[in-house]
Amino acid sequence: MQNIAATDTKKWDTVVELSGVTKYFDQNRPVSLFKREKHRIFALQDVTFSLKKGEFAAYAGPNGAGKSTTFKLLSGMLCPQTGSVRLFGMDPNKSRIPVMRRVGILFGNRSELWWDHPVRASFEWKKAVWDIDNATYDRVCDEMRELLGIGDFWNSFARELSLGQRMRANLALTLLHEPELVLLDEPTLGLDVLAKRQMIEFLKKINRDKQVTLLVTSHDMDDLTEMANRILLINSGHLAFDGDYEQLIRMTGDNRIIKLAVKGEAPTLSGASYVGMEDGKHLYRYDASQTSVAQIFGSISQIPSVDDVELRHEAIEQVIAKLYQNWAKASALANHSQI
Amino acid sequence: MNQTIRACLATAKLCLKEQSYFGFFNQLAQYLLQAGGLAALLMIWRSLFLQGVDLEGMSLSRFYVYTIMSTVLAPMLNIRTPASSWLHDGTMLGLYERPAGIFAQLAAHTVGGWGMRFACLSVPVVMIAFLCGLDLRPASLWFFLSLFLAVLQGFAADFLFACLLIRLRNLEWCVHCLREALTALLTGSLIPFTVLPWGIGDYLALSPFGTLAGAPLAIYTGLATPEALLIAQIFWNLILWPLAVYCFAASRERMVSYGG
Amino acid sequence: MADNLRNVLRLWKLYARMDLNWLLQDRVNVIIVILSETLSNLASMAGVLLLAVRFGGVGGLSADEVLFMLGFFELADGLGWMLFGNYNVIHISRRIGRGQVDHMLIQPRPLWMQLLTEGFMPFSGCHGLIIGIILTVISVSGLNITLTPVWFLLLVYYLIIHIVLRLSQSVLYGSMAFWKPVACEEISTMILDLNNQLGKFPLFGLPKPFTALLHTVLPIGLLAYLPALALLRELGKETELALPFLVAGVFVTAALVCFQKGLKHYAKYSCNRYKEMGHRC
Repeated sequence: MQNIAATDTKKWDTVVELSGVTKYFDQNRPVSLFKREKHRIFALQDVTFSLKKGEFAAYAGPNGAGKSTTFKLLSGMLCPQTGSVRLFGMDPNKSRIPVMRRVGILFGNRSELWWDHPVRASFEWKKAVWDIDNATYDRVCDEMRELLGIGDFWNSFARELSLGQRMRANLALTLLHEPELVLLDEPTLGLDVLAKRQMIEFLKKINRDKQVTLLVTSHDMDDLTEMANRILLINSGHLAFDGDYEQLIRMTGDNRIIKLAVKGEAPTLSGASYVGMEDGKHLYRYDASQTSVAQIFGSISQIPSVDDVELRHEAIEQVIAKLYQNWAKASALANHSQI
Repeated sequence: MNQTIRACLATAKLCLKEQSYFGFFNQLAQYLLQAGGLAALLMIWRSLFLQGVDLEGMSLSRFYVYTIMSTVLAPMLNIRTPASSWLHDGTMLGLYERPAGIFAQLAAHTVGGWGMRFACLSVPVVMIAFLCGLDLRPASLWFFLSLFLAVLQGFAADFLFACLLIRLRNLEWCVHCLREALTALLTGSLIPFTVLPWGIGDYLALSPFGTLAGAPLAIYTGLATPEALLIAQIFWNLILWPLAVYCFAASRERMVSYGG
Repeated sequence: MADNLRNVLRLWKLYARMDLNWLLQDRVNVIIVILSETLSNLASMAGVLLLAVRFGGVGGLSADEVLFMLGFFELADGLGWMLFGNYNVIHISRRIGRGQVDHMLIQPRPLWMQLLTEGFMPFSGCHGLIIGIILTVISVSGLNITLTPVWFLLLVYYLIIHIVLRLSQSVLYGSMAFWKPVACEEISTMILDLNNQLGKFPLFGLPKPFTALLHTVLPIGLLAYLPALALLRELGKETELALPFLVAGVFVTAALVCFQKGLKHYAKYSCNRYKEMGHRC
């Protein structure tokens, strides 16, 4: 694809486009005091996906899967060994400045705030560096004060903020120039329940109202499920899944959990497997695509000592954990067979 | 072997290894720069001698030895434990979680870090000086006691600087500047006290800073008689160590609540 | 071009305002910083000055001339510090080695513009410049120098050369941190310290190869010694004008090439570490 000038890309509908991207790093690992061993790590292997304007996608995967590398590629900090990365039709590595005017990036473990200055100063700094006009600045600041509550600590030193306040201030700063694409790496990291809720609601709102495209990573699958309508799962540098949650659940088996309160030992439930105990009750799992609810209740009705029955979908956290576990097992098996 | 010594050795060994992970050639640039600085300083002494000034009867080679040994022994004459750099990010907390004394752990970390510099800079410098015909033997064996006392006192001084840093909280740069200022002038590591005007060198030599580097170097090169300097070193050790222990204990609460 | 200039001025104004705000909001801390840096600057000059006083001059310069040389060094160093001293702009290897280049790459401004403006601290970083001015004025009043417009032009020329040489050395050696972030994190600091330590010594009487080395490869002689000679004695003017210009040109070119190459390497391999320290604090 040709590198297209920034002015030509306003009408671009595909905001993000990765095609056949491979990215690896070479490491020198010390094996002894004087000897080093070269080791090649593939962060991404032949990854292809795209995001349309207004999409809200979750980007998940186990630690070291390649999530942060993808973000660095998307923001033009890295360039791939093979394949191409395009944001609004532009190569972010070559057209860094026009791309950065339209993208907002927030890494969960980093801060863009000026440490020894009041929060306000960081916003004023960004206004000058990003060339934000007065009207937009005032409007967005008002919005942020209202939606993220940053007005409470607007004049506090950045170094004196709590973690939740710092995250909110960072997010507000990221969005100050009204980016069309927002890349958020672990935006809910370390936030308490209330702060997390505020953050999620806010992100949903800007996606819905302003058609901002969002790509968010998190290890909290429940958060991602609530926020995003599309999930991209990455494992050992490969894109392992790209679709919505329903598809993901179908792929991993439509598992349901039954919580059974019975006196005495756990009875056998045909069509379901015993998982363990929770709050003094027995837990069973069954695949709804193989066994119907009627069959399960049929089995339960034959147990005389049942006090209570609870039926629910298996939590997405558990679905994903199982998936990661299977990937890890497959990877270990592959390594073992190579040895 | 005593458990504390074993623990310290393990820590020192790991710090030595850590230095080696940076790679010999990667560090070479730094050592080359330091060697370049040493060579330039030696040439400057030479030019001063060519000017024909009276340096209290000291020969040029004594000046060379003074400057060379100042570079060779630099980590011991200007003790820098990781204490100061570990305060801001809470790394210091980790030391309290280990079953060993804080001072002993910091000392082990420091001594372990010396190995690479000695191997890559100090030893080659000594060898080159030897090949150039410079007599590098110490003028007095009291030097070894003086060096030991200087190292001991250096640790106490470093702990006191760490305590100052805790008091000043965010101002690591200031403490760094203060130390650089004091090191450059008052410790005698760069310019021997004997060549300073108005006899101020005589007072500085006995000061708590002068005894850190000036004393062992002066004894090594025979620029001063050992007795007075050794007494001054023992005196400052007796003053600075209790002060360091007291200040460190008094700063403990701030230390563990800062950065962590 | 005009746009760039306007943006640079805007950013300087912005950083000047931020510096003033810091000064006004963190008064005690700023005063401690200024005092300790002033003390450090004075102490680093005291050694040479004391030697000059003790021996009635050193390295072919009288005590007053040594004071002028030190004053010039402080003036140039102070000006450089005021322009580039903040947020590790001058200690660029720290930014690179600590993985903080990312923070620059997400700004919609060219990197040269960021590096030119971010370190500006006209209020909290002007103490070196003030000391330099005081020392230069004192020394000039004790020396028999005719102050003409040409002399002032020459002074400005050597001030620029001094700053360019130090910055370009810092960037040239600091670029090594793109390849070896851990080992080279402090290499800019080391080269600047070396410049600071040795640049204040008069170099008269050194063997010729060594003098040549200290005026080219390790150009500490061009930082204050040669400018002081030129401003005090007007010796061999052409060489004294051309040599610093040529050497500074070579260093700037080498620094730009290495920095560009380093950035390309960074885009391929990134930095495998990130340290918060020194980033905007």
